[in-house]
Amino acid sequence: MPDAHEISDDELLYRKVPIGPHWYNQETDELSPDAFNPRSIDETGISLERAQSKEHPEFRTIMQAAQGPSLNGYYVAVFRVGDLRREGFNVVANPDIERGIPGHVLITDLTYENRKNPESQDKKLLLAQGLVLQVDGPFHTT
Amino acid sequence: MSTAEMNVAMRDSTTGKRYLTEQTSEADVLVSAICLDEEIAAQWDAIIDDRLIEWGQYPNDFELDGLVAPSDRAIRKAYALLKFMRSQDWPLPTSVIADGEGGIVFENRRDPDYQRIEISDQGDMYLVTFRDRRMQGRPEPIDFD
Repeated sequence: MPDAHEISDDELLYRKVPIGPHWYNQETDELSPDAFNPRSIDETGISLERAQSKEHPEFRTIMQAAQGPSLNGYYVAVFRVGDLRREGFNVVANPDIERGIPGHVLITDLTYENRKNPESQDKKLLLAQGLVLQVDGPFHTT
Repeated sequence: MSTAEMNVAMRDSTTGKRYLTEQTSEADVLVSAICLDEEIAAQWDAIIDDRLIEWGQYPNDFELDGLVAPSDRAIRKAYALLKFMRSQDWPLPTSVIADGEGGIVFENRRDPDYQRIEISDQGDMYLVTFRDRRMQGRPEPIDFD
Protein backbone atom coordinates (compact mmCIF):
# COMPACT_ATOMS: atom_id res chain seq x y z
CA MET A 1 0.00 0.00 0.00
CA PRO A 2 1.42 3.45 -0.87
CA ASP A 3 2.46 5.80 1.90
CA ALA A 4 -0.72 7.55 2.99
CA HIS A 5 1.17 10.80 3.43
CA GLU A 6 2.43 10.82 -0.14
CA ILE A 7 -0.28 12.36 -2.23
CA SER A 8 0.11 11.61 -5.92
CA ASP A 9 -0.78 14.09 -8.63
CA ASP A 10 -3.49 11.89 -10.11
CA GLU A 11 -5.46 11.58 -6.89
CA LEU A 12 -8.86 13.22 -6.61
CA LEU A 13 -9.88 15.44 -3.72
CA TYR A 14 -13.34 16.21 -2.38
CA ARG A 15 -14.45 19.54 -0.96
CA LYS A 16 -17.80 19.47 0.83
CA VAL A 17 -20.05 22.39 -0.14
CA PRO A 18 -23.10 23.06 2.09
CA ILE A 19 -26.33 23.68 0.17
CA GLY A 20 -27.74 26.32 2.53
CA PRO A 21 -25.54 29.29 1.50
CA HIS A 22 -26.26 28.59 -2.23
CA TRP A 23 -22.58 28.44 -3.17
CA TYR A 24 -23.32 26.05 -6.03
CA ASN A 25 -25.95 26.67 -8.67
CA GLN A 26 -26.90 23.34 -10.14
CA GLU A 27 -28.85 24.89 -13.02
CA THR A 28 -25.89 26.89 -14.32
CA ASP A 29 -23.16 24.62 -12.93
CA GLU A 30 -21.50 27.64 -11.31
CA LEU A 31 -19.54 27.43 -8.10
CA SER A 32 -18.88 30.51 -5.98
CA PRO A 33 -15.46 31.27 -4.54
CA ASP A 34 -17.16 31.55 -1.14
CA ALA A 35 -17.21 27.74 -1.09
CA PHE A 36 -13.54 28.05 -0.15
CA ASN A 37 -13.85 30.69 2.56
CA PRO A 38 -11.78 29.57 5.53
CA ARG A 39 -13.82 29.43 8.73
CA SER A 40 -12.54 30.75 12.04
CA ILE A 41 -11.29 27.26 12.93
CA ASP A 42 -9.34 26.97 9.65
CA GLU A 43 -6.15 28.41 11.06
CA THR A 44 -3.77 26.24 9.03
CA GLY A 45 -5.75 25.68 5.84
CA ILE A 46 -9.06 24.65 4.36
CA SER A 47 -10.22 21.05 4.48
CA LEU A 48 -10.53 18.61 1.62
CA GLU A 49 -10.53 14.86 1.54
CA ARG A 50 -8.70 12.32 -0.62
CA ALA A 51 -10.95 10.09 -2.70
CA GLN A 52 -11.18 6.36 -2.16
CA SER A 53 -9.37 4.49 -4.92
CA LYS A 54 -7.82 1.12 -5.73
CA GLU A 55 -4.55 2.41 -4.30
CA HIS A 56 -6.24 3.91 -1.25
CA PRO A 57 -9.26 1.81 -0.23
CA GLU A 58 -8.93 3.23 3.28
CA PHE A 59 -10.20 6.63 2.18
CA ARG A 60 -13.88 7.53 2.00
CA THR A 61 -16.25 7.44 -0.95
CA ILE A 62 -17.87 10.60 -2.24
CA MET A 63 -21.11 9.62 -0.51
CA GLN A 64 -19.29 9.25 2.78
CA ALA A 65 -17.43 12.51 2.26
CA ALA A 66 -20.75 14.27 1.71
CA GLN A 67 -22.09 13.41 5.16
CA GLY A 68 -22.43 16.22 7.67
CA PRO A 69 -24.68 17.88 10.22
CA SER A 70 -26.60 20.17 7.84
CA LEU A 71 -30.22 19.21 7.29
CA ASN A 72 -30.11 20.75 3.82
CA GLY A 73 -27.28 18.48 2.71
CA TYR A 74 -24.18 19.04 0.64
CA TYR A 75 -22.65 19.10 -2.80
CA VAL A 76 -19.13 17.81 -3.30
CA ALA A 77 -16.64 19.65 -5.50
CA VAL A 78 -13.99 17.41 -7.06
CA PHE A 79 -10.37 18.41 -7.79
CA ARG A 80 -7.25 16.69 -9.10
CA VAL A 81 -4.15 17.11 -6.95
CA GLY A 82 -1.84 17.72 -9.92
CA ASP A 83 -4.05 20.57 -11.16
CA LEU A 84 -3.83 22.26 -7.78
CA ARG A 85 -0.07 21.82 -7.54
CA ARG A 86 0.50 23.20 -11.04
CA GLU A 87 -1.21 26.40 -9.88
CA GLY A 88 1.01 26.57 -6.83
CA PHE A 89 -1.38 25.22 -4.21
CA ASN A 90 0.15 23.39 -1.29
CA VAL A 91 -1.73 20.16 -0.50
CA VAL A 92 -0.74 18.59 2.82
CA ALA A 93 -1.89 15.28 4.28
CA ASN A 94 -3.62 15.78 7.62
CA PRO A 95 -5.29 12.50 8.62
CA ASP A 96 -8.12 13.06 11.09
CA ILE A 97 -8.47 9.65 12.67
CA GLU A 98 -10.61 10.98 15.52
CA ARG A 99 -13.33 12.03 13.08
CA GLY A 100 -12.82 8.97 10.88
CA ILE A 101 -11.32 10.89 7.96
CA PRO A 102 -7.99 9.23 7.17
CA GLY A 103 -7.78 11.06 3.85
CA HIS A 104 -8.17 14.52 5.33
CA VAL A 105 -5.89 17.09 3.67
CA LEU A 106 -5.34 20.82 3.97
CA ILE A 107 -4.80 23.44 1.32
CA THR A 108 -2.51 25.55 3.44
CA ASP A 109 -2.57 28.57 1.13
CA LEU A 110 -5.99 29.62 2.43
CA THR A 111 -6.30 30.36 6.14
CA TYR A 112 -8.68 32.34 8.30
CA GLU A 113 -6.02 34.95 8.85
CA ASN A 114 -5.20 35.57 5.17
CA ARG A 115 -8.73 35.06 3.86
CA LYS A 116 -9.27 38.70 2.87
CA ASN A 117 -5.94 39.17 1.09
CA PRO A 118 -6.22 39.85 -2.66
CA GLU A 119 -4.07 36.75 -3.30
CA SER A 120 -6.48 34.62 -1.30
CA GLN A 121 -9.45 36.09 -3.19
CA ASP A 122 -7.76 35.18 -6.49
CA LYS A 123 -7.00 31.67 -5.28
CA LYS A 124 -10.60 31.07 -4.21
CA LEU A 125 -11.85 32.23 -7.60
CA LEU A 126 -9.31 30.01 -9.37
CA LEU A 127 -10.53 27.00 -7.39
CA ALA A 128 -14.18 27.81 -8.13
CA GLN A 129 -13.94 28.76 -11.78
CA GLY A 130 -10.73 27.21 -13.06
CA LEU A 131 -9.71 24.08 -11.21
CA VAL A 132 -12.88 22.34 -10.14
CA LEU A 133 -13.46 19.23 -12.26
CA GLN A 134 -17.10 18.73 -11.36
CA VAL A 135 -19.60 19.24 -8.59
CA ASP A 136 -21.63 16.19 -7.57
CA GLY A 137 -24.79 15.96 -5.52
CA PRO A 138 -26.88 17.06 -3.83
CA PHE A 139 -26.27 14.51 -1.09
CA HIS A 140 -28.35 14.29 2.03
CA THR A 141 -27.14 12.93 5.32
CA THR A 142 -28.30 9.39 5.91
CA MET B 1 -27.20 43.13 -12.55
CA SER B 2 -24.91 44.74 -15.00
CA THR B 3 -22.56 45.95 -12.34
CA ALA B 4 -19.91 46.69 -14.96
CA GLU B 5 -22.24 49.49 -15.99
CA MET B 6 -23.32 50.32 -12.50
CA ASN B 7 -22.22 53.91 -13.03
CA VAL B 8 -21.15 54.39 -9.46
CA ALA B 9 -20.36 57.98 -10.32
CA MET B 10 -21.55 60.00 -7.35
CA ARG B 11 -19.19 60.21 -4.41
CA ASP B 12 -20.20 61.47 -0.99
CA SER B 13 -17.46 63.87 0.02
CA THR B 14 -17.86 63.17 3.72
CA THR B 15 -17.98 59.39 3.72
CA GLY B 16 -16.01 58.74 0.54
CA LYS B 17 -18.67 56.26 -0.53
CA ARG B 18 -19.68 56.15 -4.13
CA TYR B 19 -23.37 55.99 -4.91
CA LEU B 20 -25.09 53.96 -7.60
CA THR B 21 -26.78 56.14 -10.17
CA GLU B 22 -29.97 55.41 -12.07
CA GLN B 23 -28.30 55.57 -15.46
CA THR B 24 -28.86 52.53 -17.64
CA SER B 25 -27.04 51.26 -20.68
CA GLU B 26 -28.63 49.94 -23.84
CA ALA B 27 -28.14 46.41 -22.56
CA ASP B 28 -29.87 47.28 -19.32
CA VAL B 29 -32.86 48.64 -21.19
CA LEU B 30 -33.17 45.40 -23.12
CA VAL B 31 -33.08 43.36 -19.98
CA SER B 32 -35.52 45.74 -18.33
CA ALA B 33 -38.05 44.83 -20.98
CA ILE B 34 -37.55 41.18 -20.24
CA CYS B 35 -37.98 41.92 -16.53
CA LEU B 36 -41.62 42.72 -17.23
CA ASP B 37 -42.13 39.06 -17.78
CA GLU B 38 -43.89 37.33 -14.92
CA GLU B 39 -41.22 34.70 -14.72
CA ILE B 40 -38.61 37.31 -13.98
CA ALA B 41 -40.85 38.90 -11.37
CA ALA B 42 -41.16 35.49 -9.76
CA GLN B 43 -37.39 35.16 -9.70
CA TRP B 44 -37.05 38.45 -7.81
CA ASP B 45 -39.62 37.18 -5.32
CA ALA B 46 -37.81 33.86 -5.05
CA ILE B 47 -34.60 35.57 -3.95
CA ILE B 48 -36.54 37.18 -1.12
CA ASP B 49 -38.60 34.13 -0.20
CA ASP B 50 -36.11 31.31 -0.72
CA ARG B 51 -32.97 33.04 0.42
CA LEU B 52 -33.38 36.14 2.59
CA ILE B 53 -36.38 34.92 4.54
CA GLU B 54 -35.08 31.37 4.81
CA TRP B 55 -31.67 32.52 6.02
CA GLY B 56 -33.32 34.72 8.61
CA GLN B 57 -35.58 31.94 9.83
CA TYR B 58 -33.07 29.08 9.95
CA PRO B 59 -29.68 30.38 11.06
CA ASN B 60 -29.02 27.12 12.87
CA ASP B 61 -28.20 25.28 9.65
CA PHE B 62 -25.19 27.55 9.16
CA GLU B 63 -23.98 27.08 12.71
CA LEU B 64 -23.97 23.30 12.29
CA ASP B 65 -21.25 23.72 9.67
CA GLY B 66 -19.24 26.25 11.67
CA LEU B 67 -20.56 29.11 9.53
CA VAL B 68 -22.30 32.33 10.51
CA ALA B 69 -25.78 32.91 9.08
CA PRO B 70 -26.50 36.27 7.42
CA SER B 71 -27.12 38.90 10.09
CA ASP B 72 -30.36 40.86 10.37
CA ARG B 73 -28.51 43.95 9.16
CA ALA B 74 -27.16 42.15 6.11
CA ILE B 75 -30.58 40.73 5.29
CA ARG B 76 -32.24 44.15 5.61
CA LYS B 77 -29.59 45.72 3.39
CA ALA B 78 -29.88 42.95 0.81
CA TYR B 79 -33.65 43.39 0.76
CA ALA B 80 -33.28 47.14 0.24
CA LEU B 81 -30.75 46.56 -2.55
CA LEU B 82 -33.07 44.09 -4.26
CA LYS B 83 -35.92 46.59 -4.07
CA PHE B 84 -33.66 49.30 -5.52
CA MET B 85 -32.44 47.08 -8.35
CA ARG B 86 -35.98 46.00 -9.17
CA SER B 87 -37.28 49.56 -9.13
CA GLN B 88 -34.53 50.54 -11.57
CA ASP B 89 -35.30 47.57 -13.84
CA TRP B 90 -31.83 46.19 -13.39
CA PRO B 91 -31.23 42.60 -14.43
CA LEU B 92 -31.38 39.96 -11.75
CA PRO B 93 -28.09 39.16 -10.09
CA THR B 94 -26.84 35.84 -11.42
CA SER B 95 -26.72 34.63 -7.85
CA VAL B 96 -27.35 35.78 -4.29
CA ILE B 97 -25.36 33.82 -1.73
CA ALA B 98 -24.41 33.91 1.94
CA ASP B 99 -20.71 34.43 2.65
CA GLY B 100 -20.68 32.26 5.78
CA GLU B 101 -19.48 35.17 7.93
CA GLY B 102 -22.80 36.91 8.43
CA GLY B 103 -22.79 38.71 5.09
CA ILE B 104 -24.52 38.37 1.72
CA VAL B 105 -23.06 38.55 -1.78
CA PHE B 106 -24.72 39.53 -5.05
CA GLU B 107 -22.83 37.96 -7.96
CA ASN B 108 -22.72 39.06 -11.58
CA ARG B 109 -21.24 36.59 -14.05
CA ARG B 110 -22.82 38.01 -17.20
CA ASP B 111 -20.01 40.33 -18.12
CA PRO B 112 -16.44 39.29 -18.95
CA ASP B 113 -15.54 40.54 -15.50
CA TYR B 114 -16.77 38.70 -12.45
CA GLN B 115 -18.29 41.22 -10.05
CA ARG B 116 -19.66 41.01 -6.57
CA ILE B 117 -21.55 43.35 -4.33
CA GLU B 118 -20.56 42.21 -0.88
CA ILE B 119 -22.77 43.16 2.07
CA SER B 120 -20.97 42.68 5.36
CA ASP B 121 -22.60 41.46 8.57
CA GLN B 122 -22.71 45.14 9.60
CA GLY B 123 -24.67 46.07 6.46
CA ASP B 124 -21.82 47.86 4.67
CA MET B 125 -21.63 47.35 0.90
CA TYR B 126 -18.56 46.89 -1.27
CA LEU B 127 -18.08 46.40 -4.99
CA VAL B 128 -15.41 43.84 -5.87
CA THR B 129 -14.31 43.26 -9.46
CA PHE B 130 -12.23 40.40 -10.85
CA ARG B 131 -10.71 40.45 -14.33
CA ASP B 132 -9.04 37.33 -15.69
CA ARG B 133 -9.59 35.86 -12.22
CA ARG B 134 -7.58 38.63 -10.60
CA MET B 135 -9.08 41.02 -8.09
CA GLN B 136 -8.91 44.60 -9.36
CA GLY B 137 -7.87 47.07 -6.69
CA ARG B 138 -9.46 46.98 -3.28
CA PRO B 139 -13.10 46.37 -2.33
CA GLU B 140 -14.81 49.69 -3.00
CA PRO B 141 -17.40 51.03 -0.52
CA ILE B 142 -20.69 51.73 -2.32
CA ASP B 143 -24.26 52.55 -1.38
CA PHE B 144 -27.55 53.61 -2.91
CA ASP B 145 -30.17 56.18 -2.07
